[in-house]
Amino acid sequence: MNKRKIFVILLAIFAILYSGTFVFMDQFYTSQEVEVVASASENKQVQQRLKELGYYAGNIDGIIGSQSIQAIRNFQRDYGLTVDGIVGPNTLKALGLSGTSSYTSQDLYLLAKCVHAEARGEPYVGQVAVAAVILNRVESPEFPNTISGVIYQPWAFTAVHDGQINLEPNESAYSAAKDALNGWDPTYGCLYYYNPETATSEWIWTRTTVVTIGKHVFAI
Amino acid sequence: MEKTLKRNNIILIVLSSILAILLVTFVVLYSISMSTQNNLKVDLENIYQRNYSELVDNINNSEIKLSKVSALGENSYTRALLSDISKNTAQATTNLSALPISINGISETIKFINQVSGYTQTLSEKLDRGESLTQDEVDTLRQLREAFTVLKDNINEMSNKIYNGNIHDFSMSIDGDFNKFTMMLKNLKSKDVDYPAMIYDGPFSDSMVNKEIKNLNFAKVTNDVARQSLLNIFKNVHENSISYLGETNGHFKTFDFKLSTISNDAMYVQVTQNGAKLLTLSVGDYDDTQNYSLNDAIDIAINFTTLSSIANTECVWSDVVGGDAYINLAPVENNIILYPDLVKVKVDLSTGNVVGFEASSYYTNHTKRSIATPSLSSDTAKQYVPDELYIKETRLCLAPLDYNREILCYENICTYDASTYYVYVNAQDGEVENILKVVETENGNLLM
Repeated sequence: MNKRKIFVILLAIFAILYSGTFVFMDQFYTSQEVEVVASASENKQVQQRLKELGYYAGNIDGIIGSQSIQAIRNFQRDYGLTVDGIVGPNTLKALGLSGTSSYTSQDLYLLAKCVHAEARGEPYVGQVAVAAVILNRVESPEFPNTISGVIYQPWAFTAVHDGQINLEPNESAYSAAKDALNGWDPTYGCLYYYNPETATSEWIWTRTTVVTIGKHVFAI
Repeated sequence: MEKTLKRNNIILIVLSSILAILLVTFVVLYSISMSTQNNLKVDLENIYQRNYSELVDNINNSEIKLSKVSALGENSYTRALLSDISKNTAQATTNLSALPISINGISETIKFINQVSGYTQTLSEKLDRGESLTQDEVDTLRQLREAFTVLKDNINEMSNKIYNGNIHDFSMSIDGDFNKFTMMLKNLKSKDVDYPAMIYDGPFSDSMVNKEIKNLNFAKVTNDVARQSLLNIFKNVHENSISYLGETNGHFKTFDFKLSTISNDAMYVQVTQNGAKLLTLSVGDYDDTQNYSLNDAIDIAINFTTLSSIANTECVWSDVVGGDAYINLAPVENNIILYPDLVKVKVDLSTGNVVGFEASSYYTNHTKRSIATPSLSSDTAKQYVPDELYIKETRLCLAPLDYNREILCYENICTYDASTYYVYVNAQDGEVENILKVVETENGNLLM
């Protein structure tokens, strides 16, 4: 048999297996990457505070690397906390940084996360409108009766389904969510919205259109 | 020649060994990945199954209790039964919404269950107040029982398929717009009786959705007139910087415009097609600097509201979050605060500009009312406030405390244990109608 041929075949199999292995490795690490991205702003606060207290000398970049973890561990040891290098509620409290959300602002936080995931890049009023649709669903008999029930209803929002909901919301999303909770509803009772360029469901086209804001069509 | 052969053999052996190692790694990783995936799938399926079982339990329990209510008529036990039905059906909706149902695939069923919950809650509250059920209500309860029995039988029949199969698998196969699991539930409806209409003012009733708009009985205007009305409100905006965006044709009908001003991002405003009234204004604002005080902001809000043709309002609630003041204004007539007619204004404390305006409650509810004079004096009303609370201020108000009902109350602003409470005492009979607590959060104060 031609050795050259065998050589080429072996090389090909090698390449396939090599890339295949990375596919699996990827699968294991995706969720962790999302988490790091998700709390980047919080991480910066932690690094800033650790720097002020003299535990951390690195850059304030929001990335928790080995230097940051060592700083957290040293801080935890000095303050009598469990030394695990992880910033949990107790460590946050000891750092003088309260947790991201108390139970009362949980709804606002969740609403802001959904707005950010579903409508970042949309005009401000379009973000308020998305938040208002979620709240209108809470009031409607055809949907779950709580904000979390509506947002986490299986198959209801694409950005919840694909995990974008776990991105940290920006100020605009917070502000829009707060306005909607305060009663702003530029759609006056809409229960649905869709992007006509990407909507795949035929059913959605049967709904009565109320208003178009940015890329979204709002409907009842 | 022999040397080359030997070298080739060595390369082959090395390559094969690397290949073997990679193959083993690949298989190990693959099997770990598959078993993780399988574990997650089983966990998910268990959550679905748990919710499905609870759904069946809650539907069965509701049906039994509805049978008792319709068989026994009204007696001392009815209130407890109605309250239980309301809880069971509310829980059934929670279970249903945790199942992988395509959006709106079975909205009629969810609506029916939710409305049964709202209806039974309303009736239970009615009995609580010492009233009794009307013949119509008793008849509706009987019809509900019949419809519920069909739903219960169908769901129990479907259970046999679910227990033998796998909800996750059913949910993954798509059948047109909906998944197979949704279609199974949807098909129940075809064997169904028509769901009876429930006429009531309470949670999830249809009357809440299409509330009558009481204060827009004006002639329809053109979008040019609407544009002109904006120039009267925004004095420093040039006509050219107002662009027409289109119409909103929902519960409110509006002309929508975009305003570009020097100091702000683009402003989005909606003007009613009837009477050209400013209905909402929204603009993003993320500047945290505060050059204006809260009192300045309240004046700015009241002036702006007056310019938008809503007069005689007072600030009834305010809160500063970041660089914005959130101000709620309510019309005050004969010293009575009209809470149902709230106008909400958001003022940017760095520029003093209005960055949010919302008047849909005002136009929905504001009307000439005949409000009865209170039977109790404010001093008598104070006696109904729990003794533990220290009363700081008492004022008369019309409170939208009940669905579609406005109640004349004394609003008592009280403190207890360093917290502020709002206690609403009915101005006719002294009944405590509601107690709200001011909850301070990092995102501002909430009334809960």
